[in-house]
Amino acid sequence: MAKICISIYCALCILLVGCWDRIEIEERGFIIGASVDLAENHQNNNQELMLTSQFVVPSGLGAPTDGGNSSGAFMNLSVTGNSLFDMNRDMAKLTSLTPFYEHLKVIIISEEVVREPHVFGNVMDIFIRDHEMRRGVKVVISEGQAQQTFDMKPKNEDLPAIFIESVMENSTANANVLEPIHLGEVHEYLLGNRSFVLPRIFPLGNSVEYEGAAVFQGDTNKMVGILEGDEAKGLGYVTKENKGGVVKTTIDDQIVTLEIERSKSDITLKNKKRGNLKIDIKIDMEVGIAETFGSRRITSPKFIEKAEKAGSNQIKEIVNQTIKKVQEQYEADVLGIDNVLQNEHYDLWKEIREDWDKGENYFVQSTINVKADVKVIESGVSDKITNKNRRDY
Amino acid sequence: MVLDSFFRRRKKKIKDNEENFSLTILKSLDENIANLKRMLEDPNDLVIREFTIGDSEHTCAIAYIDGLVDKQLIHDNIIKNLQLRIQQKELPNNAEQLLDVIYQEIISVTGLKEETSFDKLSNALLSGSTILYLEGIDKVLVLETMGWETRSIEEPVSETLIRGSREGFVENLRTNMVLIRRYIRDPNLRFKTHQVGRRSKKKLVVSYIDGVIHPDILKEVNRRLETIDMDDAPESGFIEQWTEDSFLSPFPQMDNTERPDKVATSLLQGKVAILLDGTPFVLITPVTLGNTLQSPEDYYERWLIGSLLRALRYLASFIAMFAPSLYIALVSFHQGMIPSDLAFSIAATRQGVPFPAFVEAIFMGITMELLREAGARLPKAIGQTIGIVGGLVIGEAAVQAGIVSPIMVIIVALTAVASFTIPSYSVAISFRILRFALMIAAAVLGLYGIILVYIMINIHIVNLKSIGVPYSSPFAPNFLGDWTDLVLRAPVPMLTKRPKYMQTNDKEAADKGEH
Repeated sequence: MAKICISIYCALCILLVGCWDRIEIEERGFIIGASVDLAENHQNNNQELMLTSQFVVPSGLGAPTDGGNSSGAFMNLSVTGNSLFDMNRDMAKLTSLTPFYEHLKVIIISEEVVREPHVFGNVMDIFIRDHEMRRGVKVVISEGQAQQTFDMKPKNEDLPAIFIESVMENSTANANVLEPIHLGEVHEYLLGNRSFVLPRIFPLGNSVEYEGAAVFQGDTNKMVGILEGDEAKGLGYVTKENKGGVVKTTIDDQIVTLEIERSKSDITLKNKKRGNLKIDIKIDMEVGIAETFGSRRITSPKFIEKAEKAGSNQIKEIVNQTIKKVQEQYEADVLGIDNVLQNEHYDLWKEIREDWDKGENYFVQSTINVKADVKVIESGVSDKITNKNRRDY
Repeated sequence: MVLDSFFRRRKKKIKDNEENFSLTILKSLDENIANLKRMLEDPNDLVIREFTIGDSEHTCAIAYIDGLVDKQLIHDNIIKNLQLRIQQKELPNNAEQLLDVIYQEIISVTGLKEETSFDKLSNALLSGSTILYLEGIDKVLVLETMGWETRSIEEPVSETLIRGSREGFVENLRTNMVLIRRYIRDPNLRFKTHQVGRRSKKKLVVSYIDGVIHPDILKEVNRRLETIDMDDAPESGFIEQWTEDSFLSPFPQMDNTERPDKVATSLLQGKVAILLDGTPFVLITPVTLGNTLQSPEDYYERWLIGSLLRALRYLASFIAMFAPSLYIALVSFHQGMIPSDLAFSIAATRQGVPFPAFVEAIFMGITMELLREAGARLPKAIGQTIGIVGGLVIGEAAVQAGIVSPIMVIIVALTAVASFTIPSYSVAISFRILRFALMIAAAVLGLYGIILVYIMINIHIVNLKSIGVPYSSPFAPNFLGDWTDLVLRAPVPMLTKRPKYMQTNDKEAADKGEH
């Protein structure tokens, strides 16, 4: 009898807890995108932020059979304040759904916010700290108002945040866009006081362009500038190993486009003279010929040689341009040299760590030498497309 | 406490109405016949034929129960012989000697024995034997003349295979023994007879292969069978429930089958088969969890197919147990674990569903069980209607009415289909019971609850034994050699060893490469 009583009590202990923490899926407000802007009425001394969250309205997504729903698949809510967590709770007052961040896909931060020193770290705190946040969330910097990007109506997606995320996934095809950076990596950069780059988007009406990089200075985690076009490409050649992209060059005034099949960059330290560190960046690349203008036979060894040489020069030029910019203008080591120094020359790194791209600025004082070696490994399925010697009938 | 008294119940002799008749066989023929009639209160199927033997003065009588005997046999081999063949022969006058002559020379029936105890006489008579009384002697001859209407051997209904023998056991014990004998011609194949049922006095046969089986298993089976004390065992399920190791466990600790080929394979693995007269279901014991997920067809098809089907069945048993509870846990607690697009579409379909996922799942689960039970009880001709009513009306209409979400219908259907792939009906039922336990756990504590119950199930399985053999073997205790025939099935030439967990006396099931 006693045993039965005890087991009933035990069962009650479990059962009376009563579905603790249970919130049904339809009561969750799935937030798939969050953006942080400066509030319009902010005073200079007391910075006010605006947090905009994009909620999914599942019924608006519609089943695949009954087409889209005109009422819209998302809902944006904005609140202002100076504590993001507080603003987050405020958001619950505006909606019938419980804000739920486990499906968050992108965090978009306005350039205006991160131009101030230390703000970026403060803004990221809640996203890194909160247990509902996932470390795979992509972080991106937006030119102008970040909130705008959540209002667009992309043609092929119902949800702007998902659209932005998909655009970022396409980055492998281009060398001049960065790989998406995830929250986990941001956390690493912030902890290590390293300079880093974040990808940028530009709102373009009903679409976005994903291009370029925002450079952050590690010490102050403040955005110091941007790398655009070829500058971003140069950064890509150094940091994006094996990730594809193109090298556009000219041979005898005619365009030849090379597609990167494999690429490998190697950073080595040549001397340990502080104040004038010599650093070699060697880029080995295997490319295919993707496009040629003109009517040459591209299988001739001579042409291949020319293409390789032109490609190497092109890469060298672009990378040098990037290095010049980050060294002289931004004074931020985003090339990953600090990583190499830490891993391979720890003794030296221990001493110069505090003065790498701040203080004494050894990074700026070092000489960076770029070598590029391009190898053509394939030429497409045809030798030549047009024939100069042939007359038209 | 309760159980002790349950098992302490003593064997009691049934009280016969002893006043009316004598419990001994008498010398007088008339008195013997009267005695027999009094015992049975002279039913109209009791046939007694008195006649004189040949030309002599000796009178005798045969008694049998009409319908239980082969009349042709009695006419041709008993009565005819006693009346006609005798004529050419000098008969002794002494009744004792006469009985001997009849036993030795006259009656041409194979099963024949002398009996002096009245007690055994009634049992023999009611089992279909014929009794030959002779005037002047207190002994009788019991002639085995059993012969009654039986169902012919048909394809087993509950276990159909695409490839494999079409023979199934029938209700007749003798036929069933023959079916096993036809698979195994080993002289060491043994059939040991027990009697069960205080009143029904049914025959129960324990079959095994001497020299393969571990003697302790056999001893334990026999010991347990001897403790059986009930009026009747209508079906082998009674035997199973009386002798199983743990009656609180949801898992069946004996396998039942209608297939002689399955029994033969099991006997060769060192197991015991228990055949009960009157049922086509033969029990196989000891059994392990792995055995319950096997089908004979795994061996009949090529090993690749067999292995895939096995692995599929393991997957199916997990689906059958966990699918609804995982749905509840993910939808009610851990929405972050569902891929985003799926989460949004589940949220969309659940919009407007008035119940939480648990109530929804219980509702559909019970509906499914109702349909299945109705389908099983209804006659075959009407059974199909249930499919239509259940599938179309309840499934479709419930979604249309917004009571359940379409995803739930998929989950329930998937669960049902998965549980149908489990070859053993009794194991499928225990998975169904556990499924509801898991659903409650998921509703209370989410994934954490599911894991807790899963751990509890595992502890129970590891603890469970079937006639002393761990139910979880060869997983735990781990017998690596037995994994050749567990989740996957190795090619037949590699299956050379009998299962290690059975600790058989003869380890090799085949020679490997040697002649």
